[in-house]
Amino acid sequence: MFSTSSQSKYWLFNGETELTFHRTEANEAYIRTRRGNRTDDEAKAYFLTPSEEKILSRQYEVVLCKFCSEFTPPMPRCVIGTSLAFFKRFYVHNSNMDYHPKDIMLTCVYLACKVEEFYVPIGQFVRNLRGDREKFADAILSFELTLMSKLNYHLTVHNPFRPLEGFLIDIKTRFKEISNLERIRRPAEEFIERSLQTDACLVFSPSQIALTSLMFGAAKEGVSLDRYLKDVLLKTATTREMEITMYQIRRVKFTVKGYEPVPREQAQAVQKKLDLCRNQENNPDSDVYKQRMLEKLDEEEDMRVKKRARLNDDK
Amino acid sequence: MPKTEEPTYPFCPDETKYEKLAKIGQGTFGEVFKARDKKTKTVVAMKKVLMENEKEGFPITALREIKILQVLKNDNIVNLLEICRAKATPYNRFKSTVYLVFEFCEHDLAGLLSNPQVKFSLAEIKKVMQQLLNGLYYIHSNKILHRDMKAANILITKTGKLKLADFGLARAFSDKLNRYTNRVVTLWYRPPELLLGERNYGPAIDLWGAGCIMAEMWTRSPIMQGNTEQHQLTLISQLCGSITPETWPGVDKLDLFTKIELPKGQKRKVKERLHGYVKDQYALDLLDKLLTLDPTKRVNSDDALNHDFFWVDPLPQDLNHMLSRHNKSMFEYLAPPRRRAPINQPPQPPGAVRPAGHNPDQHFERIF
Repeated sequence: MFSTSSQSKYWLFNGETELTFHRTEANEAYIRTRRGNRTDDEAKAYFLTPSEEKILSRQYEVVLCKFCSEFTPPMPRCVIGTSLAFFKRFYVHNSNMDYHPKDIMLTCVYLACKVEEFYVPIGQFVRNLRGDREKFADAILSFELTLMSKLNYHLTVHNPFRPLEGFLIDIKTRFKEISNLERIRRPAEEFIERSLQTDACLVFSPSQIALTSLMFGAAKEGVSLDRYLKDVLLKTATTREMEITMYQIRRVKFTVKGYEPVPREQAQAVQKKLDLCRNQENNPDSDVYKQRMLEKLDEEEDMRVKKRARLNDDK
Repeated sequence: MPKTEEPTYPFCPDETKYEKLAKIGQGTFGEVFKARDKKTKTVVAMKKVLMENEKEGFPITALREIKILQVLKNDNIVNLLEICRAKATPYNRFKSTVYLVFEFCEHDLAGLLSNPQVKFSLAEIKKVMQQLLNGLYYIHSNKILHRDMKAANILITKTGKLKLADFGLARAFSDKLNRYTNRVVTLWYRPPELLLGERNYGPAIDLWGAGCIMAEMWTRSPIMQGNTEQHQLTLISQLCGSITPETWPGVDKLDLFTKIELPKGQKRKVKERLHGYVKDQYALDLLDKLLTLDPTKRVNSDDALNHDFFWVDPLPQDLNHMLSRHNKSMFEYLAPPRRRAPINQPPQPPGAVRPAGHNPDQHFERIF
């Protein structure tokens, strides 16, 4: 049930202000540990600002959606929704500079496939990518546990697609006066898909998003659902509850309609900056990363030798 | 720049928060340890998620178990306290390990049943079965199948509270047509529909297991110990009667119905065969309903809970008193080698040697 879920307990925020607060905190925390003796101006020029981070996240959310929609075998919509929810949750408390969105993005999709019971073996998964597939597979698997723990193992995501289905069934059953209700399905679904590109899933419950999508779809088809809302769905609600619901619907609409794609050049400029200021220890391509893996393998060998020696001593 | 900075996981406690006391079991995907929180001294059970041989990253079975247990909160379901990560060490190739941390339960039912000192009265057996069915009722109404019912997965606290455990094979189900794997459930507890290749199964598979466990409360060891799937079906037919389209309409449509040899002309003798152990008529009747061949006719958990067995004298009685006479943990894993059945493969032949490393920790034996 959504009301008792980890999503409603830990991953719903009051709104943009609270989200910006956490993201800025993550951004500042990263800069604090790495600025060295850079002056404020130098730091600003070198590191990503919170708004640049947001541009980057938005950009990769678009890439993620595109990756998912072109994925073979075709992916159920809830996998896309869950992938995006994981991705957004991850960057509430983490900086893009610490973990590159391109690695996290793929890991989110891979994990979401498992979570949503749309199981795709890693070999088949990376066949959807161009380039060094083995390297992609290694990166995905090495970030998987980090992603899970940063999500605090809250893996169940409630998407708006199911409540939309529920509302449609409810209208068909309890509000029969609308003919050909199915025609509002498509615009409603498009609204939900659009909402996935925004912070809606971090602020609103899935049913609020679904209800708004329904109102939006109905308006687009020239159908009024006002009476369904007042006389059926919210029949037993108090005036106050009614007001809150209407207010939330307006907020969802505002959030989703306010979405604007990031201009390509802008995103490219930020990416360039990121190449310099990112955490090389979390970059599978970096020398630091490779060096560390080698050191660890050496250590492993050391441990084995020591263990063997100890066993021999015991004999 | 510092050379290697250990990442910190604010959400996710470090495994060193706990000290391991003893290994107490082997789950579907990893080992289980008894451990203690160093600070609070709370005793817990830690289930290790084996990562070393996972080409596909974090095992999907463990993922399901986490997801499912985060939702299921009930007195008769094992309580998941938290998840913690062990630091990456050279031993696990820096793919650090994850532990699921559970409340600790002192016994499992297989361990209790294998100890002749532990005697259950009829009223106590009723309490065990009532809690077990209550747990099943709860998970099934949450649309979850357990898929690994067996006595070793039924935990009992020292105060006699029963908890269904090991959701390593569990998964969500829907009422639609499904194609799940039928390679689930330990052979001796596997229902006939799975043995015949059914892939669109439902909650009834867990109730077959509940029937096997119920009988075991009297027989003290699993009632049908087949060596192969074929053998298991033979044993089932000998107890529950021949599997035919007359007793089980539609069974002939299952994949393996024609491919496997099914004993013919067997009469159903569930009540007769168990009568030697079980004297209570109500118990025999409920057993008969649980061990029904046709899954669509098998009793569900709700109806089973309403069965007269639980509502006539002697009424179900807490195990608290009986268990207070025993001050040692009893787990199947630590019990003498008798009847350990690995999943999806024939159980070891009788007299097989137990794998090495099963030396029960003395410290552990004395605890509580």
